[in-house]
Amino acid sequence: MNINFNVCLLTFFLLFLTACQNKDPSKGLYQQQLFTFGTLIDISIVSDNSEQAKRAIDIISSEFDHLHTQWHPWKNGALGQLNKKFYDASSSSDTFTSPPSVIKLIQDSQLLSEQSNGLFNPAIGQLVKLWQFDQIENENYQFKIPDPEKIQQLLEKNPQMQDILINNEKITTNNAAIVLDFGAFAKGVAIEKMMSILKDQHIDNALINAGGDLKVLGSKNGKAWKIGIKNPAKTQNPSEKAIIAAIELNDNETLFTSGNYERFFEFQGKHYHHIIDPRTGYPAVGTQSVTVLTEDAALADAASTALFVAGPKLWAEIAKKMNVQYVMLISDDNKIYLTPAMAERIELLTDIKPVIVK
Amino acid sequence: MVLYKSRLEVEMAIFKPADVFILLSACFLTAWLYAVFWFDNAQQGEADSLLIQLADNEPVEYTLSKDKIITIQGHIGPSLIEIKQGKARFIHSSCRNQFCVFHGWLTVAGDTTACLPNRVSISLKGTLNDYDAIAGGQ
Amino acid sequence: MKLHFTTTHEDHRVALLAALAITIHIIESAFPSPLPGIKPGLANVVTLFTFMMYGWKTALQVSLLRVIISSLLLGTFLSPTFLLSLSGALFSLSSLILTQQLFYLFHLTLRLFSRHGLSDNNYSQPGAIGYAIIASISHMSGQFLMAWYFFIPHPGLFKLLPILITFAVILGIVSGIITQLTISQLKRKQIQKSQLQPDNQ
Repeated sequence: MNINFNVCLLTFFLLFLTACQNKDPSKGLYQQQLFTFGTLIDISIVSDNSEQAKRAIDIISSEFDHLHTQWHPWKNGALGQLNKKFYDASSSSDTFTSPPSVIKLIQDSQLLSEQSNGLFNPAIGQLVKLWQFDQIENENYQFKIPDPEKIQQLLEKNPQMQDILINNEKITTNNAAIVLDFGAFAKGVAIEKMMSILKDQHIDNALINAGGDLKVLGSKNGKAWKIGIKNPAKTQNPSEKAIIAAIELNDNETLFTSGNYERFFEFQGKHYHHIIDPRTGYPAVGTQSVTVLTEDAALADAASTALFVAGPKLWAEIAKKMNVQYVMLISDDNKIYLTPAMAERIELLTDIKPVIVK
Repeated sequence: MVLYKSRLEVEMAIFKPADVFILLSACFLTAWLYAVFWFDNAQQGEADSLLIQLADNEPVEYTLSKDKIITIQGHIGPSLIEIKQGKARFIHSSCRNQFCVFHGWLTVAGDTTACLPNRVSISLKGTLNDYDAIAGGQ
Repeated sequence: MKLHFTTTHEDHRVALLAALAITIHIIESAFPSPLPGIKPGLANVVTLFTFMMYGWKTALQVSLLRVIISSLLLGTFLSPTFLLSLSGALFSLSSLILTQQLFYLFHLTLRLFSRHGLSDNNYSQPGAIGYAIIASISHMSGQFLMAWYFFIPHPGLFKLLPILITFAVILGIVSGIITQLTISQLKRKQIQKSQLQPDNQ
């Protein structure tokens, strides 16, 4: 009896130990930072195969470099060349050609632009150029506020994505003011592309963080990817909390944030950020940051910009039109607005009571 | 030693061997739950080292427990990075717009900022329950 | 016209046990709870007793009757509270069955390796306390998971889980002791009866 009792206990403990050891063996995590696409890109890959991970990162790296040139509004790539043709065009009967990747970019953003009531408007490249945010990395550039008359002129010409017509891969436009700047879209499309590259390389668990906009695949050793969302108030007040909220992302989900603190000029004590309101021609007011969660990075990119421009009053309506369920908007007066779906998922790390907008 | 004399005694016993085993496992489970949902979260995002990366080189790790100022020679000039009381920041960089300096202190594990023109990035790393990424720009 | 029901001895037993369980369930519903709908499950004592004395089929009848009838009486039928107590009851009963089977399997394995003793499964089976702890933890976590999944899918909810499980373990021990004492008392009486009437078998 005695022996059997001991055998009994021992067997159980052994069973217990083996059960503990077999519990998901952690796979390796490969991380790499890349300076490309005009930002810092952080790639994390969960894999047992380091060769596979490295190969995937190399492919992604060169692809990002390539797309950056191709889709840059002013560099000598596909989009830059198209913009130059738009710029130089003499009459509305001119037709242009462009590679399929740019045509797809135009077509997809036309739909999103329409859904957003024109608040997401990549056709205002000339306005953005006027504000010189492309010069942000130029050493010798001195910021100045653009001539209000020039802004007014461009607004009157009212360039819209719908002014571009595509027929059999031939592009025509009846608006001479059109210049395309996909600053609020290209990153999303690129991330989707990188994710499909990862899948082609048989990588099922990964995270790509492109300057604070990210998308995940699978999980991190069985756990959802845990993301902290930056507190926009911290830029003005260093004593504020760094992270305002935490959220867990599941397979294929993407989180995009547009913030007024990301790219900006300080000029004569005023803050001029890079998100231009296509209705006024000036940096959008009323919002500090918008965070959007969806499964499509391209949509998330466009929507976060559109909702930022929409501001605290209009955003919920536009979010519905763009079919975005998960939104957090932090307004200039430090109010936090959430959609009901977002309120259920997000973990706020602040005492501010959120306003839930249906 | 004989544990039980008769079947009756087995049935009358308050604690049986298997009961002890189940009770121990239950205590173990409870302790584990506390560890996972309480202890871990208390440490959420606490960083203990700083990674500095220059261009595509391997990142270099510094401990956050020692205050110091590090000078990195980047693409266009030097960048000065300060470690103080478990936090880190750029205090100067050879770029014009100084976004990296405006970013201020990095305080949570997973947080990253970079001087893009100078190709220098700094990020905090923790050992316990980090954020996997920080959303919302550098 | 008269309707005739034939009821067996087993039916009477189920009815009696269910009535007892319902009473406890309703008394328990008056107690406050840290999470709406989540209850310690004292009515589990009855389920556990039934399970140990009469097997899982009777226990399943008793616990389904308990959940359905008391929710009808309390006016919570098909409400979230009902779903929570149903899932708690089913969770705890199925883990009781699972535990029993596991220990039986364990007993069979042991018998393969031992030349003497342990011929009776009762030696390796847990007693009421072991079962009660299992039932109580699974009752609690079943309800908790349902509450989290369907009603409050907020990660912050998990902060409550360790506390709830601590209570579950303590309550499990208490209800286990109650059950064990009841069973012992009952068996002692049965034995006394059979000793008094030796021919009665």
